[in-house]
Amino acid sequence: MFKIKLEQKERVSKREELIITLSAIGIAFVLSGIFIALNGVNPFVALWKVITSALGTPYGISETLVKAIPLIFTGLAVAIALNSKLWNIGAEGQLFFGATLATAFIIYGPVLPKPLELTVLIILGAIGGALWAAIPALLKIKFKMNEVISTLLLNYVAINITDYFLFGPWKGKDNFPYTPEFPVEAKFDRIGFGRVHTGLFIALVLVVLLYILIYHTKTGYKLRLTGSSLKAAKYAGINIKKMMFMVFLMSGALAGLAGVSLVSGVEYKLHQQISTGYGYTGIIVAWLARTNPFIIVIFAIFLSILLKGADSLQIAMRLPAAVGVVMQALILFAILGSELFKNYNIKLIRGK
Amino acid sequence: MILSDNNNNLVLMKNISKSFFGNKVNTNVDFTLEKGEIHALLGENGAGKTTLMNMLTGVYFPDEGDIYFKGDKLNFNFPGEALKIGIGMVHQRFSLVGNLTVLENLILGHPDNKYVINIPEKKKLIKTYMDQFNFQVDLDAIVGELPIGVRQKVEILKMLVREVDVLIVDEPTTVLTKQEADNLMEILKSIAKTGKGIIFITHKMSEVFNIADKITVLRKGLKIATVDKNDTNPRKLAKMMVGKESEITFERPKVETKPSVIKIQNLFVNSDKGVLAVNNLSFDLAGGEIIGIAGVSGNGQVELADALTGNRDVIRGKIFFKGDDISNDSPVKRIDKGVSYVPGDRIRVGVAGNQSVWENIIMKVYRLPKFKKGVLLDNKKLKEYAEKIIEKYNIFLPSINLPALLLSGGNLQKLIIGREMERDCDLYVFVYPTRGLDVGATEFVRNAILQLRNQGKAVILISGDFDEIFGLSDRIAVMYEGNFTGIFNNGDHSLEEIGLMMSGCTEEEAVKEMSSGSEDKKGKEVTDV
Amino acid sequence: MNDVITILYAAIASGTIILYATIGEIITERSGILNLGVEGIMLMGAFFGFYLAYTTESLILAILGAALIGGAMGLIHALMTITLQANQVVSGLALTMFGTGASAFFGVSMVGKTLKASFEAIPIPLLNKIPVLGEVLFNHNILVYFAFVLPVIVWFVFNRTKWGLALRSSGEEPLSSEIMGIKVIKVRYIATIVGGIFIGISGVYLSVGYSRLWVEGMTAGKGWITIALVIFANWNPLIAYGGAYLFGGLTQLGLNLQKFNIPFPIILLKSIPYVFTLLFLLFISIKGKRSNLPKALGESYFRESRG
Repeated sequence: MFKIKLEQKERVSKREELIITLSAIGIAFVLSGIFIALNGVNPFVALWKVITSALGTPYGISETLVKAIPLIFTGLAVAIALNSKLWNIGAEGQLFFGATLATAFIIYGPVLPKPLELTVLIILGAIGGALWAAIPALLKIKFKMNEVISTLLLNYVAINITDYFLFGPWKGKDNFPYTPEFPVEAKFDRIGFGRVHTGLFIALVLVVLLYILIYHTKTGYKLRLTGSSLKAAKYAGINIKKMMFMVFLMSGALAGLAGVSLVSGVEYKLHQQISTGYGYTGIIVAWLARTNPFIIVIFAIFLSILLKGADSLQIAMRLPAAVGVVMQALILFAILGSELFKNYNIKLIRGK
Repeated sequence: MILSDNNNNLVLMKNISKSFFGNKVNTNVDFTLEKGEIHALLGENGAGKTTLMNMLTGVYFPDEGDIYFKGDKLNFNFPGEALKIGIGMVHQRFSLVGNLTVLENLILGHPDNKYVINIPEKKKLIKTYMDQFNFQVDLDAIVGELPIGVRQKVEILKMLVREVDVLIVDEPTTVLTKQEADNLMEILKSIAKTGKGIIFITHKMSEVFNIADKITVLRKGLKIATVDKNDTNPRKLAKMMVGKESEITFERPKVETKPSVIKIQNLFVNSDKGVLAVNNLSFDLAGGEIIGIAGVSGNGQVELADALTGNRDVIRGKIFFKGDDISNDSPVKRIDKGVSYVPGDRIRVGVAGNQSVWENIIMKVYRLPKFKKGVLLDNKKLKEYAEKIIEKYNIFLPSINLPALLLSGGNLQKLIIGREMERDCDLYVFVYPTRGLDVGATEFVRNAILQLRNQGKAVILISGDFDEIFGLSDRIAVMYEGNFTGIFNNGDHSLEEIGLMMSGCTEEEAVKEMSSGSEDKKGKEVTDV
Repeated sequence: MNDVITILYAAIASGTIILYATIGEIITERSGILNLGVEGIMLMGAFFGFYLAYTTESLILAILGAALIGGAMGLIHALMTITLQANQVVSGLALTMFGTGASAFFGVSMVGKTLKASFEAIPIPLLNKIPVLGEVLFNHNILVYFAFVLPVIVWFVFNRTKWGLALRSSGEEPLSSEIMGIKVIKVRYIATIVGGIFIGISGVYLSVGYSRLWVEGMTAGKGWITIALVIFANWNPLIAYGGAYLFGGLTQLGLNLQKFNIPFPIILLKSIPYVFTLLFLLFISIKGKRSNLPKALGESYFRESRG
């Protein structure tokens, strides 16, 4: 009789972790290949197409970067919550709410000179996202309501609110649900590389700012301590509830910024399809990258390569758009499944 | 394969040793249990009683030694095997399933269960056990709603329904009222009469003499003796439990004391389970004074420390610090006012294990203006501060950036104590500060405590180690069930008297008990310098 | 009056979708495993069931297929969370993502197709002549009727069988159960697979029994509402009736509010299910009604040797 024994590894080297992670991603790719093959497409050709379309041409690279921008924001959003052991599954809804709030200003507010206008839009986007995140935050802090479900349900409500405006007061002239194109003051400038826009700089600046906040301020220290050990944080005198609320607001604000970057940087209008699940993909980015804001950028780019590739598969090989979602899910499964191997050695023991 | 001639042997444990992370918890312990015998396992916390029994039930495996049950050598592979062969343990923390009824808990996993449960039939079956052992419980009640005393009955009944031959009960009366405890004793006696063997883990002398046939005393992992009840008395047992007078001396110079640094008035504090842990406690402590609080763990010490430092709410009563009423102050306020806490749970509370050493050292001081650099934290200054402390307190480690959980127990405690000492607080609360530490680290801790006292600080030392209690304290208090059974100057009472106080006797009773023998009454004298 | 009957009838029909899923999730969660993949499993069941119903014209195959795919997805979740000790929340989210994507991926060919075979309403003679109640309850298809009795059967299994006892204790005190002889790991695997089966069936009911079409994402969050409803039902299959049909009713009410000329933006009525679910949850959080929350729900049960 065989017995499987799990032995906790004493030390886990970063190299070992990386190898296991990469192997997992490799397995995910193989599984994706099977899916693609089931649809009658040659998986090797398809997977090659993913890489070349995203990285093979300047256009491809620029499009990949365009997709990376909102992902950096949502990745940061989910990560900052995750580090305090909080689940923000509502990034998608916060994204929409932030975008909608900013759009409201564009439609109802005065047209300001560009730098001022963009600043206002960015602030409103952050406020919108933060407000939407404040709801599940309060529900959790005051009523101990589990934030996974509350953030999720609110996604649907946020999208519904956006739809209300799109099908109602902001309806296009031809009765289609999108706003008229934004005035030039409300558009982010392109930086001269395809459709890549200044939102990229804002995202990168935010990465740096967050890094400074987390590692060089009192608040950041409190966040790190709380995320590391609730008991030790309480012992050190930190107000856990206040921390929790702050984390939710920051998380929501970041997701809201993703929304603004999409309507003002890419679409130049508000409509139902501004996000292809960036809020959810952000969860994968955060789960892969964990703590460090800079690593989040790397994984955001990695996943946007995937997203861009999936887009091309749709266009060039007539694969359904959902192929990207399937691949993301497979990667997530593979990473999840590999965690055990990172922390434990598997031993087979003979005999009883 | 019968190993001994004695057919009455249910359990035979030979030469059992067990270590956890280098700490020897049981050393060469022998233990036997016969049919129909009630055998008390007596000792303080940390003596190794529960670990020994956990090996008998297969929760842990002995490093050395063998265990025989009814003559067969034991070799467990999975939880539940012990129960299958007839060894059952009722733990301090019950293992009943709260959302099920009593009946369901009793029949859970029973090998005779058929697919569809015939409730009336099962009830009849259980009733035969209840009648046989003469105690009744309401089979339809939901376990989670039952009072603790009844739940314990269910736990025991559960073992009887599984037809165990050996029943182990671990400190069963800690959660019971007097009547419930008496009731329990009767039940155990009647169970033993049917031929089952009972192992009764306790630290309470009165219980031992109530029901035990044999008594085994453990101390610091060693078996001190196994005696017949009729061959011993409380005085002898207390001495075995706590051991010899220590040889360690500490110099305690006369210090100018600051009166009433901390004053506790009629304090009531609850435990995590909502039961009263600190029960109408009052006492006074001056700066320059160490009060050593002795007592078996679980009598309210940790709750007292938590309440003092703001980590637990005060139900009733007041706490005064340097004249201020701090009863409702938040932990951070107390930290700023000068209260320092060295917690018993070093790894989970004292530090955030995943954070680096320096980040843990600055835990209480990062808010100080001297560490500000504009809006930001001056990490450089903070790290220098941390380096200073590492050096000053001789904490050995290659880099302050390593996560704190990599430190050895001794170094971790040095980190925590060094951190707290540098803050120059007025009250220091130490909870089991030398538990699990090696000789060098222990010496460091004790010297630090003494140094604080000599600097005029008020020090509360909650400890299970009598070398410390006698060596360091100016006054000693013995904590039992949320209050002090005695509070006196160091030297007024002997170790044995204190041992009795820890088991429930008051000061007077302990003295009376001890003077009924021919031993010396007084303990060590204080050496005034 | 006719309007009321129509709404109630529709409430039963629509509530049945969630009822199957809720029962399935209750079974899983009672064992201690949190499966957040309900939305994904429902969609896969809906797609696969529809696909089979369309291509084979066999309703039985459709149901079996949906059950199979639901069980398979449950198995994946069990493998991840029990054996590979993965975080239950993330595994469930991955399952949802996977189900949503895969159903859309494979379902492209089924968009716009109409079914030849479908679940016909089976009026029950005599019973359906009862005024009001008769018309509301006894003119449905077989899947709805089965949903009438399913919660009772599950209740019986929970409370009167050996299995049910093992299930309820595994979710509360896994270690103590193990000591008493219960094979907790086996119980959790079975519970997660069976739960997946019922969730798959809820999907095929949605696409084949209720809407009779396939659209990507057609569950529109019903999976999440299911999870909330499990809490609302206090993990008791009998209360699930109330929750599911009430919920169905609210959805119908929302759709029909425009008839009653209420001056409220119609499009926002779509939020009613989600807002009400949140209110349900809030009500419970305040009242502290969750007395049946499986104590070990979501926690990883770790044993050093498995064999």
